[in-house]
Amino acid sequence: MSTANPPSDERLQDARDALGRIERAVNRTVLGQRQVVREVVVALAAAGHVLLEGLPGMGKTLLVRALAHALGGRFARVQFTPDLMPADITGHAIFDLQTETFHIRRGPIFCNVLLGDEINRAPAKTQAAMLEAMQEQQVTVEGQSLALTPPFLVLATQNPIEQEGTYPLPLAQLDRFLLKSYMDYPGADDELSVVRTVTAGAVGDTLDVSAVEQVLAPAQVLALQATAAALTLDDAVLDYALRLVRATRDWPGLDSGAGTRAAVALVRAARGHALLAGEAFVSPDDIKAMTPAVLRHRVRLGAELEIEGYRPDDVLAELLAAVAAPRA
Amino acid sequence: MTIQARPRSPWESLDLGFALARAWFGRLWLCWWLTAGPVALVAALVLHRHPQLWLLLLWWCKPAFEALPLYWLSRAVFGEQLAVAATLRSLPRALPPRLWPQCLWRRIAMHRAFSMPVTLLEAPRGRARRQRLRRLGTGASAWLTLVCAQLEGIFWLSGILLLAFLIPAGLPMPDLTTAFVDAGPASYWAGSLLLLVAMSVVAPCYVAAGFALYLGRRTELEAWDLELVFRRRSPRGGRSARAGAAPLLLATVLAAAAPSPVAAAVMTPAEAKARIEAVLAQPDFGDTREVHVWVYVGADSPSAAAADDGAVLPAWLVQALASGAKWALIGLAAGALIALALRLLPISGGAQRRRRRRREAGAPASPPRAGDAPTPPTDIAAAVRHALAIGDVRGALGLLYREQVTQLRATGLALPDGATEAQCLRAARARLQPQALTRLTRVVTLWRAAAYGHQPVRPDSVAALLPAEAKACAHNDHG
Repeated sequence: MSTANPPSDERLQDARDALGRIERAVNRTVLGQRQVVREVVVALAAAGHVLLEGLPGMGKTLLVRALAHALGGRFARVQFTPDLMPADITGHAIFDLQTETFHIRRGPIFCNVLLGDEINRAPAKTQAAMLEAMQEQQVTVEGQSLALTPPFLVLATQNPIEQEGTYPLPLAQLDRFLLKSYMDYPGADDELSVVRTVTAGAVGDTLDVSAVEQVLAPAQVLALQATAAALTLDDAVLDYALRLVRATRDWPGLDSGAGTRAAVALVRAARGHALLAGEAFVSPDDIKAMTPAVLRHRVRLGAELEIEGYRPDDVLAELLAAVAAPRA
Repeated sequence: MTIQARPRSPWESLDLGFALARAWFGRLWLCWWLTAGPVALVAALVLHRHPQLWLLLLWWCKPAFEALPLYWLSRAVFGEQLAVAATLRSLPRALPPRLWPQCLWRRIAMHRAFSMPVTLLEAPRGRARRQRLRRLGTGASAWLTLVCAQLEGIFWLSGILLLAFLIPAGLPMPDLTTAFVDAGPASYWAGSLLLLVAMSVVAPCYVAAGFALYLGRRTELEAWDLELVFRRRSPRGGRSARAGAAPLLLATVLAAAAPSPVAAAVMTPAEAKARIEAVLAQPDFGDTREVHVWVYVGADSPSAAAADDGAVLPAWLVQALASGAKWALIGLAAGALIALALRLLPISGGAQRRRRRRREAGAPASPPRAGDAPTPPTDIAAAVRHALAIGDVRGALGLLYREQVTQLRATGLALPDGATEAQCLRAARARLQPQALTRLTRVVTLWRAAAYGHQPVRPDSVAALLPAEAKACAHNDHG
């Protein structure tokens, strides 16, 4: 399988340069998280949403704000709390006494980049309010469907340690996220740079992203995403992606494997990865590079593996080594 | 433990042997390891790269490992239980040079358990040994060997399965076939160690049962029980009996089959006759019992008898049916053995065939594999040229890429099935010479462009990557 109109070399070059500039701009602000920044940029190219998981103080919010700043467009932030209602996100109808009519007040979800901070602190009802927006790029308020302005990117964060007072995301919600990225502790040198940079002349705890220049306009992001979607994808590569996803369903130690949406997400993410690498086609290396980020939140470990301290990435690494890569 | 000398059937003797092994299992097991342990350690140091040879050596040396338990048992049965130090000191006597044939051309003999006591304790040589064994017979020692071999197998498999069951459900299960066929991985060593332990557990029973068979046979043929009674009743024998009949019997065992002079020589015929009559008057010799049982003798009426006569098959037909059934059973057994050998022996490619069958059956437990990546042909150049001739550039590059992967694996590089092109290149950087690495890089670049990018690749650039052409190019470059 290949696309009918593969992108021209010039278009490829432009897209690669734009993605490279975004990656560099975010990396200048968020130090020591190159892998996460790369995955977020891949998700941007693939028009997918990202779930960021990490301890407090790892730079999750800073990363999202820096990305939003680099992209231009409208940025919104929702702090998820137990008393947050769906209408607080999507919007609601208010009665205008002067005109005696109802008006729709649009919620913060009407933006280009939405930061859902600590998404697992809101109950399932509120989390579900984002399902329609993430999947169909539209919101229904008072029975009226309102389209979101593309590009629309949700970056949600959650804390993996504190479980008290949280509502774990249901699988259906998790499946809407193209990728799940872990933000781990930065290296010693990077951490030193972070502290030095942040404390140099700064007052208080403010996150300063003013140094991030705007790299793209929203319209350019759409063109970039179209370029990624037009990359050549061979049948053997597609078959490899599908075999990886299907292998999760019978793999020992996994209670449940990934669904068909995971296969779609894997191919989309691989396209974004190939574009970021400057390739005109998707290769098995792109599939393999994105498999952990795409599948780690879509598989469920068995109780024994969890007790033994295994993480989904450990099982996925075994799976990647065992599933044969295409060689013909 | 008291052992009564009396005639026993082979099955009773085997039972006695297993009872002896249970009673003295710890000592016999220790005796076995006293010889097997050092051999296993030294062999492991020498043959650590060849676990199959290590296992074969230990299996082949089993008669040498069983000599010390046999020696210890031959003393213990007659009341002399050697301590560990004394057992170690007796090693030269327990492992005489006449043991070598048992470890060489007599290793495969099914009657080893029976012939070992004859060879090691009586020490006849050549023709005398053969005559001695012929006279004693072999009892049920072949069955003993067969049962003990099966016991070893059962213990071995049980150990492997026990280890496998101890792995918590859900954790990745190791491939159990590597415990049987593939040499090298830890699971094969674990399987081999378990087999050694199984051999050590069964060996005391095997040795003791073989020795008990030997004792039973000699008791039956040489009337040791009577001799012991005579000895107890004779003035000198009475003293011996008071001190315990065992040393006398031990002397008899170790003095070979030659009849020893008995104390009866000092008695007058009348005295001897009286003693013999007294012995024969004992319940063991003179007791008669009358037993009544019902026995079916057939129908009384002539008509029924005639009908029965008519139903009897002719003798020749019965003979033919029996013969046919016998050969069918032999054929089935031979077929089963051949199938088992083909399945287990790595030399027959059984494991590969099994894996292939599992792939074909699409077993869900095995990871899905690329079904379109066959092994590269032997003559890679001819295959590539043929592919180029028919315009299949992608196929030609695929052949070259797979050949490169095969060569990388031949250098000892561990490339899993899931290794992609970039991983192969990364792994090859530390192993290949610059020239070979350049060729691999070129092959991978063209292969990725043609296969995944659907980009046109010139056939002559592919042909230049053939091994011979690449060598010529490199030669010209150097020239």
